[in-house]
Amino acid sequence: MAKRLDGLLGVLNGAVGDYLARTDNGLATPMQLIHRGAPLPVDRAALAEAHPHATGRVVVLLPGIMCTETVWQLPRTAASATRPDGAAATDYGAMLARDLGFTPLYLRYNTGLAIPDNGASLAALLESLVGEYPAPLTEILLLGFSMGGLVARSACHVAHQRGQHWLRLVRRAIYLGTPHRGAPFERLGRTVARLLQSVDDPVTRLLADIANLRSDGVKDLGDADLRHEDRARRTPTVGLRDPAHPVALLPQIEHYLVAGTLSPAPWLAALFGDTLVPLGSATDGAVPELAGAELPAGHVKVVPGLAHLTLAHHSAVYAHIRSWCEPDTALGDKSSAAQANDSASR
Amino acid sequence: MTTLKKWRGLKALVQDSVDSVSHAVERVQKETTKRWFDVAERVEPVAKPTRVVRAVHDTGVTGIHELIRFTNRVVGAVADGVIDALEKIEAKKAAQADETAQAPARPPEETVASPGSEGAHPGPPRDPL
Repeated sequence: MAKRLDGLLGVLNGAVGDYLARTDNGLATPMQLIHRGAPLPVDRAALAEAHPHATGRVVVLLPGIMCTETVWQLPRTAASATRPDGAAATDYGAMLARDLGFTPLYLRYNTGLAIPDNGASLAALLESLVGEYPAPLTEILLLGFSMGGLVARSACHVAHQRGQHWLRLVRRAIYLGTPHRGAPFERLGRTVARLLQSVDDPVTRLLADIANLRSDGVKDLGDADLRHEDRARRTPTVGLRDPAHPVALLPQIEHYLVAGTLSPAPWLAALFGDTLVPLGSATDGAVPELAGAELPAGHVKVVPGLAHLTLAHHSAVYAHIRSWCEPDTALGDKSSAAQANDSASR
Repeated sequence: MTTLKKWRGLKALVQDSVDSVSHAVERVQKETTKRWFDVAERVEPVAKPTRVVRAVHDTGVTGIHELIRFTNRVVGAVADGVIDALEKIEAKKAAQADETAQAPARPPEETVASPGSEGAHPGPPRDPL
Protein backbone atom coordinates (compact mmCIF):
# COMPACT_ATOMS: atom_id res chain seq x y z
CA MET A 1 0.00 0.00 0.00
CA ALA A 2 2.76 2.40 1.02
CA LYS A 3 4.69 1.47 -2.14
CA ARG A 4 1.63 2.22 -4.27
CA LEU A 5 1.14 5.56 -2.52
CA ASP A 6 4.81 6.43 -3.12
CA GLY A 7 4.30 5.52 -6.77
CA LEU A 8 1.28 7.81 -7.00
CA LEU A 9 3.20 10.61 -5.35
CA GLY A 10 6.00 10.05 -7.86
CA VAL A 11 3.57 10.53 -10.74
CA LEU A 12 2.03 13.59 -9.08
CA ASN A 13 5.45 15.11 -8.46
CA GLY A 14 6.45 14.52 -12.07
CA ALA A 15 3.28 16.19 -13.33
CA VAL A 16 3.07 19.24 -11.03
CA GLY A 17 6.03 18.86 -8.68
CA ASP A 18 7.31 22.39 -9.30
CA TYR A 19 3.96 23.79 -8.14
CA LEU A 20 3.98 21.51 -5.08
CA ALA A 21 7.47 22.68 -4.15
CA ARG A 22 6.62 26.34 -4.79
CA THR A 23 3.58 26.17 -2.52
CA ASP A 24 5.44 24.18 0.15
CA ASN A 25 2.92 21.38 -0.25
CA GLY A 26 3.41 18.31 1.93
CA LEU A 27 3.08 16.07 -1.13
CA ALA A 28 6.31 17.42 -2.67
CA THR A 29 9.07 14.85 -2.52
CA PRO A 30 12.42 16.14 -1.29
CA MET A 31 15.59 14.73 -2.81
CA GLN A 32 16.67 11.88 -0.58
CA LEU A 33 18.27 8.47 -0.51
CA ILE A 34 15.87 5.60 0.05
CA HIS A 35 16.70 2.38 1.82
CA ARG A 36 14.08 -0.37 2.00
CA GLY A 37 11.29 2.07 1.23
CA ALA A 38 12.24 4.62 3.91
CA PRO A 39 14.35 7.79 3.70
CA LEU A 40 18.01 7.27 4.51
CA PRO A 41 19.66 10.38 5.99
CA VAL A 42 23.08 11.23 4.63
CA ASP A 43 24.94 10.88 7.90
CA ARG A 44 27.62 8.43 8.90
CA ALA A 45 25.63 6.56 11.54
CA ALA A 46 22.54 6.07 9.39
CA LEU A 47 24.58 5.02 6.36
CA ALA A 48 26.62 2.58 8.45
CA GLU A 49 23.48 1.09 9.93
CA ALA A 50 21.82 0.71 6.52
CA HIS A 51 24.97 -0.59 4.86
CA PRO A 52 27.03 -2.40 7.51
CA HIS A 53 29.27 -3.84 4.78
CA ALA A 54 29.63 -0.64 2.78
CA THR A 55 32.24 -0.95 0.05
CA GLY A 56 34.36 1.72 -1.59
CA ARG A 57 32.43 1.46 -4.86
CA VAL A 58 29.05 3.16 -4.76
CA VAL A 59 26.36 3.15 -7.42
CA VAL A 60 23.79 5.94 -7.26
CA LEU A 61 20.59 5.01 -9.09
CA LEU A 62 18.58 7.94 -10.43
CA PRO A 63 15.05 7.16 -11.64
CA GLY A 64 13.29 8.98 -14.46
CA ILE A 65 10.39 11.38 -14.56
CA MET A 66 7.30 10.33 -12.57
CA CYS A 67 9.22 7.31 -11.26
CA THR A 68 10.50 6.26 -7.87
CA GLU A 69 13.14 3.70 -6.98
CA THR A 70 10.60 0.94 -7.68
CA VAL A 71 11.18 1.46 -11.41
CA TRP A 72 14.42 -0.54 -11.02
CA GLN A 73 12.55 -3.62 -9.82
CA LEU A 74 13.02 -6.49 -12.26
CA PRO A 75 9.96 -8.62 -13.02
CA ARG A 76 9.82 -11.48 -10.52
CA THR A 77 10.59 -14.20 -13.06
CA ALA A 78 13.55 -12.35 -14.53
CA ALA A 79 14.91 -11.59 -11.08
CA SER A 80 14.70 -15.19 -9.86
CA ALA A 81 16.27 -16.37 -13.09
CA THR A 82 19.42 -14.45 -12.30
CA ARG A 83 20.44 -17.02 -9.70
CA PRO A 84 19.88 -20.73 -9.66
CA ASP A 85 18.65 -20.71 -6.06
CA GLY A 86 16.03 -18.12 -6.89
CA ALA A 87 17.20 -15.87 -4.05
CA ALA A 88 17.80 -13.15 -6.52
CA ALA A 89 19.00 -9.61 -6.59
CA THR A 90 15.97 -7.75 -7.83
CA ASP A 91 17.33 -4.61 -9.45
CA TYR A 92 20.46 -3.28 -11.10
CA GLY A 93 21.77 -1.91 -7.80
CA ALA A 94 21.43 -5.20 -5.97
CA MET A 95 22.86 -7.08 -8.93
CA LEU A 96 25.88 -4.78 -9.09
CA ALA A 97 26.33 -5.31 -5.34
CA ARG A 98 26.22 -9.06 -5.79
CA ASP A 99 28.39 -9.27 -8.89
CA LEU A 100 30.87 -6.43 -8.54
CA GLY A 101 30.75 -5.36 -4.91
CA PHE A 102 29.04 -2.01 -5.39
CA THR A 103 27.04 -0.47 -2.57
CA PRO A 104 23.73 0.64 -4.10
CA LEU A 105 22.20 3.98 -3.12
CA TYR A 106 18.71 4.65 -4.45
CA LEU A 107 17.69 8.22 -5.03
CA ARG A 108 14.17 9.60 -4.91
CA TYR A 109 13.48 13.17 -5.97
CA ASN A 110 10.82 15.57 -7.14
CA THR A 111 10.99 14.93 -10.88
CA GLY A 112 8.71 17.89 -11.58
CA LEU A 113 11.37 20.38 -10.52
CA ALA A 114 13.59 21.91 -13.18
CA ILE A 115 16.48 19.63 -14.14
CA PRO A 116 19.11 22.26 -13.13
CA ASP A 117 17.51 22.50 -9.66
CA ASN A 118 17.60 18.73 -9.21
CA GLY A 119 21.15 18.70 -10.56
CA ALA A 120 22.27 21.25 -7.96
CA SER A 121 20.53 19.30 -5.18
CA LEU A 122 22.17 16.06 -6.30
CA ALA A 123 25.58 17.72 -6.42
CA ALA A 124 25.10 18.93 -2.83
CA LEU A 125 23.86 15.52 -1.69
CA LEU A 126 26.83 13.70 -3.22
CA GLU A 127 29.24 16.20 -1.68
CA SER A 128 27.73 15.43 1.73
CA LEU A 129 27.90 11.73 0.98
CA VAL A 130 31.65 11.91 0.40
CA GLY A 131 32.10 13.33 3.89
CA GLU A 132 29.66 11.00 5.63
CA TYR A 133 30.18 7.69 3.86
CA PRO A 134 31.22 5.10 6.44
CA ALA A 135 34.00 3.54 4.32
CA PRO A 136 36.78 5.00 2.15
CA LEU A 137 35.12 5.91 -1.14
CA THR A 138 37.01 4.89 -4.25
CA GLU A 139 34.36 5.20 -6.95
CA ILE A 140 30.93 6.70 -7.54
CA LEU A 141 29.01 5.21 -10.44
CA LEU A 142 26.08 7.27 -11.70
CA LEU A 143 23.31 5.18 -13.21
CA GLY A 144 20.52 7.34 -14.61
CA PHE A 145 17.33 6.26 -16.24
CA SER A 146 15.66 8.71 -18.62
CA MET A 147 15.51 12.11 -16.88
CA GLY A 148 17.78 10.68 -14.16
CA GLY A 149 20.63 10.72 -16.68
CA LEU A 150 20.08 14.41 -17.37
CA VAL A 151 19.98 15.16 -13.64
CA ALA A 152 23.29 13.29 -13.28
CA ARG A 153 24.79 15.35 -16.13
CA SER A 154 23.50 18.56 -14.60
CA ALA A 155 24.97 17.60 -11.21
CA CYS A 156 28.35 16.87 -12.84
CA HIS A 157 28.21 20.24 -14.56
CA VAL A 158 27.51 21.98 -11.22
CA ALA A 159 30.26 20.01 -9.46
CA HIS A 160 32.71 20.82 -12.24
CA GLN A 161 31.97 24.53 -11.93
CA ARG A 162 32.15 24.54 -8.14
CA GLY A 163 35.15 22.21 -7.90
CA GLN A 164 33.32 19.72 -5.70
CA HIS A 165 35.22 16.69 -4.44
CA TRP A 166 32.77 13.95 -5.38
CA LEU A 167 33.26 14.51 -9.09
CA ARG A 168 36.82 13.16 -8.85
CA LEU A 169 35.38 9.84 -7.73
CA VAL A 170 33.06 9.53 -10.72
CA ARG A 171 34.78 7.38 -13.32
CA ARG A 172 31.73 6.16 -15.18
CA ALA A 173 28.23 7.39 -15.86
CA ILE A 174 25.64 5.14 -17.46
CA TYR A 175 22.55 6.56 -19.12
CA LEU A 176 19.54 4.38 -19.92
CA GLY A 177 17.10 5.88 -22.42
CA THR A 178 18.21 9.38 -21.49
CA PRO A 179 17.05 12.05 -23.96
CA HIS A 180 20.45 13.76 -24.31
CA ARG A 181 19.15 15.78 -27.24
CA GLY A 182 15.66 16.31 -25.96
CA ALA A 183 12.30 14.62 -26.22
CA PRO A 184 10.34 15.47 -29.39
CA PHE A 185 6.99 14.68 -27.77
CA GLU A 186 7.51 17.50 -25.27
CA ARG A 187 8.56 19.86 -28.07
CA LEU A 188 5.43 18.86 -29.97
CA GLY A 189 3.33 19.46 -26.85
CA ARG A 190 4.94 22.87 -26.43
CA THR A 191 4.05 23.80 -30.00
CA VAL A 192 0.46 22.58 -29.65
CA ALA A 193 0.08 24.64 -26.47
CA ARG A 194 1.38 27.74 -28.28
CA LEU A 195 -1.03 27.14 -31.17
CA LEU A 196 -3.97 26.75 -28.81
CA GLN A 197 -2.93 29.90 -26.97
CA SER A 198 -2.80 31.89 -30.20
CA VAL A 199 -6.37 31.04 -31.23
CA ASP A 200 -8.80 33.73 -30.09
CA ASP A 201 -11.21 31.40 -28.38
CA PRO A 202 -11.78 30.97 -24.65
CA VAL A 203 -11.99 27.18 -24.85
CA THR A 204 -8.72 26.71 -26.75
CA ARG A 205 -7.01 29.19 -24.41
CA LEU A 206 -8.30 27.14 -21.46
CA LEU A 207 -6.88 23.99 -23.06
CA ALA A 208 -3.56 25.79 -23.54
CA ASP A 209 -3.58 26.84 -19.89
CA ILE A 210 -4.20 23.24 -18.85
CA ALA A 211 -1.38 22.03 -21.13
CA ASN A 212 0.96 24.61 -19.64
CA LEU A 213 0.34 23.29 -16.13
CA ARG A 214 2.87 20.53 -16.83
CA SER A 215 5.88 20.76 -14.60
CA ASP A 216 9.23 22.46 -15.24
CA GLY A 217 10.78 19.01 -15.25
CA VAL A 218 8.63 17.90 -18.19
CA LYS A 219 9.32 21.17 -20.01
CA ASP A 220 13.08 20.80 -19.51
CA LEU A 221 12.97 17.39 -21.18
CA GLY A 222 12.00 19.00 -24.49
CA ASP A 223 15.52 20.26 -25.19
CA ALA A 224 17.32 18.47 -22.35
CA ASP A 225 17.97 21.74 -20.55
CA LEU A 226 20.72 21.14 -17.99
CA ARG A 227 21.16 24.78 -16.99
CA HIS A 228 18.60 27.50 -16.36
CA GLU A 229 20.11 29.61 -19.13
CA ASP A 230 19.52 26.77 -21.62
CA ARG A 231 15.81 27.59 -21.72
CA ALA A 232 16.60 30.67 -23.79
CA ARG A 233 17.40 28.44 -26.78
CA ARG A 234 13.93 26.90 -26.85
CA THR A 235 12.43 27.50 -30.27
CA PRO A 236 8.75 28.01 -31.06
CA THR A 237 8.84 25.45 -33.86
CA VAL A 238 8.95 21.67 -33.71
CA GLY A 239 12.50 20.59 -34.46
CA LEU A 240 12.53 17.47 -36.60
CA ARG A 241 16.15 16.85 -35.73
CA ASP A 242 17.29 16.79 -32.14
CA PRO A 243 19.25 19.96 -31.42
CA ALA A 244 22.89 19.61 -30.47
CA HIS A 245 23.35 20.16 -26.76
CA PRO A 246 25.36 23.14 -25.51
CA VAL A 247 26.63 21.28 -22.42
CA ALA A 248 29.07 18.62 -23.58
CA LEU A 249 29.62 15.35 -21.73
CA LEU A 250 32.47 15.83 -19.26
CA PRO A 251 35.62 14.34 -20.81
CA GLN A 252 37.09 13.07 -17.52
CA ILE A 253 34.18 10.60 -17.11
CA GLU A 254 33.57 7.50 -19.17
CA HIS A 255 30.04 7.79 -20.52
CA TYR A 256 28.00 4.75 -21.49
CA LEU A 257 24.65 4.97 -23.22
CA VAL A 258 21.88 2.42 -23.67
CA ALA A 259 18.99 3.05 -26.04
CA GLY A 260 15.96 0.92 -26.77
CA THR A 261 14.15 0.50 -30.05
CA LEU A 262 10.78 -1.08 -30.58
CA SER A 263 10.83 -1.29 -34.34
CA PRO A 264 13.46 -3.14 -36.39
CA ALA A 265 12.96 -0.67 -39.29
CA PRO A 266 15.87 1.81 -39.06
CA TRP A 267 13.83 4.91 -39.91
CA LEU A 268 11.11 4.01 -37.37
CA ALA A 269 13.77 3.26 -34.76
CA ALA A 270 15.45 6.59 -35.49
CA LEU A 271 12.17 8.51 -35.26
CA PHE A 272 10.47 6.80 -32.33
CA GLY A 273 13.27 4.89 -30.62
CA ASP A 274 11.90 3.37 -27.44
CA THR A 275 8.52 5.14 -28.07
CA LEU A 276 9.42 8.18 -25.96
CA VAL A 277 13.05 8.93 -26.77
CA PRO A 278 14.32 8.71 -30.36
CA LEU A 279 17.53 6.85 -31.05
CA GLY A 280 19.51 9.96 -31.93
CA SER A 281 18.64 11.55 -28.60
CA ALA A 282 19.22 8.48 -26.43
CA THR A 283 22.60 7.86 -28.03
CA ASP A 284 23.52 11.55 -28.09
CA GLY A 285 24.01 11.36 -31.83
CA ALA A 286 26.52 8.53 -31.53
CA VAL A 287 24.67 6.14 -33.79
CA PRO A 288 26.71 6.32 -37.02
CA GLU A 289 23.78 6.48 -39.40
CA LEU A 290 22.28 9.44 -37.54
CA ALA A 291 25.15 11.74 -36.76
CA GLY A 292 28.86 11.98 -36.28
CA ALA A 293 30.04 9.72 -33.47
CA GLU A 294 31.39 11.42 -30.36
CA LEU A 295 31.64 8.35 -28.13
CA PRO A 296 33.52 5.12 -28.78
CA ALA A 297 31.24 2.53 -30.38
CA GLY A 298 31.59 0.20 -27.39
CA HIS A 299 30.12 2.87 -25.14
CA VAL A 300 26.79 2.95 -26.93
CA LYS A 301 24.42 0.01 -27.03
CA VAL A 302 21.12 -0.22 -28.80
CA VAL A 303 18.88 -2.94 -27.38
CA PRO A 304 16.19 -3.94 -29.84
CA GLY A 305 12.69 -4.74 -28.67
CA LEU A 306 12.78 -2.66 -25.48
CA ALA A 307 10.29 0.08 -24.69
CA HIS A 308 11.35 3.10 -22.68
CA LEU A 309 10.31 1.94 -19.21
CA THR A 310 11.71 -1.55 -19.70
CA LEU A 311 15.23 -0.14 -19.99
CA ALA A 312 15.19 0.37 -16.21
CA HIS A 313 14.71 -3.31 -15.44
CA HIS A 314 15.87 -5.75 -18.07
CA SER A 315 18.51 -8.46 -17.92
CA ALA A 316 19.87 -7.57 -21.39
CA VAL A 317 20.50 -4.01 -20.24
CA TYR A 318 22.11 -5.24 -17.04
CA ALA A 319 24.49 -7.39 -19.09
CA HIS A 320 25.84 -4.22 -20.69
CA ILE A 321 25.98 -2.36 -17.38
CA ARG A 322 27.92 -5.18 -15.80
CA SER A 323 30.39 -5.49 -18.66
CA TRP A 324 31.08 -1.75 -18.48
CA CYS A 325 31.60 -1.83 -14.74
CA GLU A 326 34.05 -4.72 -14.61
CA PRO A 327 37.20 -3.29 -12.99
CA ASP A 328 39.25 -3.85 -16.19
CA THR A 329 36.97 -1.73 -18.33
CA ALA A 330 37.80 1.58 -16.71
CA LEU A 331 41.42 0.86 -15.97
CA GLY A 332 42.71 0.50 -19.44
CA ASP A 333 42.09 -2.15 -22.00
CA LYS A 334 39.18 -0.31 -23.53
CA SER A 335 39.61 -1.74 -26.97
CA SER A 336 39.22 -5.35 -25.86
CA ALA A 337 36.25 -4.44 -23.71
CA ALA A 338 34.69 -2.61 -26.61
CA GLN A 339 35.20 -5.63 -28.82
CA ALA A 340 33.57 -7.86 -26.23
CA ASN A 341 30.68 -5.46 -25.94
CA ASP A 342 30.28 -5.25 -29.68
CA SER A 343 30.05 -8.96 -30.00
CA ALA A 344 27.53 -9.07 -27.17
CA SER A 345 25.18 -6.61 -28.80
CA ARG A 346 24.11 -5.47 -32.25
CA MET B 1 7.12 13.23 5.68
CA THR B 2 4.32 12.46 8.12
CA THR B 3 0.98 11.13 7.02
CA LEU B 4 -0.80 14.24 8.30
CA LYS B 5 1.55 16.48 6.32
CA LYS B 6 0.59 14.51 3.23
CA TRP B 7 -3.11 14.85 4.06
CA ARG B 8 -2.65 18.59 4.49
CA GLY B 9 -0.86 18.68 1.15
CA LEU B 10 -3.65 16.74 -0.54
CA LYS B 11 -6.22 19.09 0.96
CA ALA B 12 -4.31 22.13 -0.29
CA LEU B 13 -3.95 20.59 -3.75
CA VAL B 14 -7.66 19.78 -4.04
CA GLN B 15 -8.63 23.20 -2.69
CA ASP B 16 -6.30 25.01 -5.13
CA SER B 17 -7.56 22.87 -8.01
CA VAL B 18 -11.22 23.58 -7.30
CA ASP B 19 -10.48 27.29 -6.98
CA SER B 20 -8.47 27.45 -10.20
CA VAL B 21 -10.97 25.37 -12.19
CA SER B 22 -13.84 27.53 -10.95
CA HIS B 23 -12.04 30.73 -12.00
CA ALA B 24 -11.16 29.23 -15.41
CA VAL B 25 -14.67 27.94 -16.11
CA GLU B 26 -16.20 31.26 -15.04
CA ARG B 27 -13.91 33.09 -17.43
CA VAL B 28 -14.75 30.73 -20.31
CA GLN B 29 -18.49 30.96 -19.64
CA LYS B 30 -18.41 34.75 -19.63
CA GLU B 31 -16.15 35.05 -22.68
CA THR B 32 -18.21 32.55 -24.67
CA THR B 33 -21.52 34.27 -24.04
CA LYS B 34 -19.97 37.75 -24.43
CA ARG B 35 -19.76 37.34 -28.22
CA TRP B 36 -23.44 36.47 -28.57
CA PHE B 37 -24.54 39.23 -26.24
CA ASP B 38 -22.35 41.73 -28.12
CA VAL B 39 -24.02 40.78 -31.41
CA ALA B 40 -27.53 40.79 -29.94
CA GLU B 41 -27.01 44.18 -28.31
CA ARG B 42 -26.33 45.71 -31.74
CA VAL B 43 -29.77 44.65 -32.96
CA GLU B 44 -32.03 47.47 -31.86
CA PRO B 45 -35.31 45.62 -31.13
CA VAL B 46 -33.65 43.14 -28.76
CA ALA B 47 -30.86 45.36 -27.42
CA LYS B 48 -32.63 46.38 -24.23
CA PRO B 49 -33.82 42.92 -23.15
CA THR B 50 -30.41 41.50 -24.12
CA ARG B 51 -28.72 43.90 -21.70
CA VAL B 52 -31.04 42.69 -18.95
CA VAL B 53 -30.44 39.03 -19.80
CA ARG B 54 -26.72 39.69 -19.92
CA ALA B 55 -26.70 41.30 -16.50
CA VAL B 56 -28.73 38.45 -15.05
CA HIS B 57 -26.51 35.86 -16.74
CA ASP B 58 -23.22 37.41 -15.64
CA THR B 59 -24.48 37.93 -12.10
CA GLY B 60 -25.72 34.34 -12.00
CA VAL B 61 -22.44 32.92 -13.30
CA THR B 62 -20.41 35.02 -10.88
CA GLY B 63 -22.74 34.11 -8.01
CA ILE B 64 -22.57 30.39 -8.69
CA HIS B 65 -18.79 30.39 -8.92
CA GLU B 66 -18.43 32.60 -5.84
CA LEU B 67 -20.62 30.10 -4.00
CA ILE B 68 -18.47 27.21 -5.22
CA ARG B 69 -15.29 28.98 -4.09
CA PHE B 70 -16.83 29.99 -0.75
CA THR B 71 -17.91 26.39 -0.09
CA ASN B 72 -14.44 25.26 -1.11
CA ARG B 73 -12.87 27.63 1.42
CA VAL B 74 -15.25 26.52 4.19
CA VAL B 75 -14.60 22.83 3.51
CA GLY B 76 -10.87 23.60 3.41
CA ALA B 77 -11.03 25.41 6.74
CA VAL B 78 -12.94 22.52 8.33
CA ALA B 79 -10.41 20.02 6.96
CA ASP B 80 -7.59 22.21 8.31
CA GLY B 81 -9.27 22.19 11.71
CA VAL B 82 -9.57 18.42 11.69
CA ILE B 83 -5.93 18.01 10.65
CA ASP B 84 -4.84 20.52 13.34
CA ALA B 85 -6.72 18.52 15.96
CA LEU B 86 -5.21 15.25 14.75
CA GLU B 87 -1.75 16.82 14.82
CA LYS B 88 -2.29 17.95 18.43
CA ILE B 89 -3.39 14.44 19.41
CA GLU B 90 -0.37 12.97 17.65
CA ALA B 91 1.98 15.45 19.34
CA LYS B 92 0.45 14.67 22.74
CA LYS B 93 0.87 10.95 22.17
CA ALA B 94 4.47 11.45 21.09
CA ALA B 95 5.19 13.56 24.19
CA GLN B 96 3.66 10.90 26.44
CA ALA B 97 5.70 8.20 24.74
CA ASP B 98 8.85 10.30 25.28
CA GLU B 99 8.04 10.78 28.96
CA THR B 100 7.46 7.07 29.38
CA ALA B 101 10.72 6.27 27.67
CA GLN B 102 12.69 8.79 29.78
CA ALA B 103 11.16 7.86 33.13
CA PRO B 104 13.53 5.74 35.29
CA ALA B 105 12.49 2.13 35.53
CA ARG B 106 10.71 1.62 38.87
CA PRO B 107 11.15 -1.60 40.79
CA PRO B 108 8.02 -3.72 40.64
CA GLU B 109 5.71 -2.77 43.48
CA GLU B 110 5.02 -5.39 46.01
CA THR B 111 1.37 -5.96 46.35
CA VAL B 112 -0.11 -7.33 49.47
CA ALA B 113 -3.04 -9.56 49.11
CA SER B 114 -5.90 -8.23 51.14
CA PRO B 115 -7.68 -10.61 53.34
CA GLY B 116 -10.26 -12.54 51.50
CA SER B 117 -8.80 -11.87 48.09
CA GLU B 118 -7.97 -14.74 45.73
CA GLY B 119 -4.45 -13.52 45.18
CA ALA B 120 -2.26 -10.51 44.57
CA HIS B 121 -3.99 -7.93 42.42
CA PRO B 122 -2.12 -4.87 41.27
CA GLY B 123 -5.20 -2.65 41.28
CA PRO B 124 -5.81 0.24 38.93
CA PRO B 125 -2.74 2.04 37.52
CA ARG B 126 -1.63 5.04 39.57
CA ASP B 127 -1.89 8.45 38.09
CA PRO B 128 1.71 9.60 37.52
CA LEU B 129 0.69 13.17 38.32
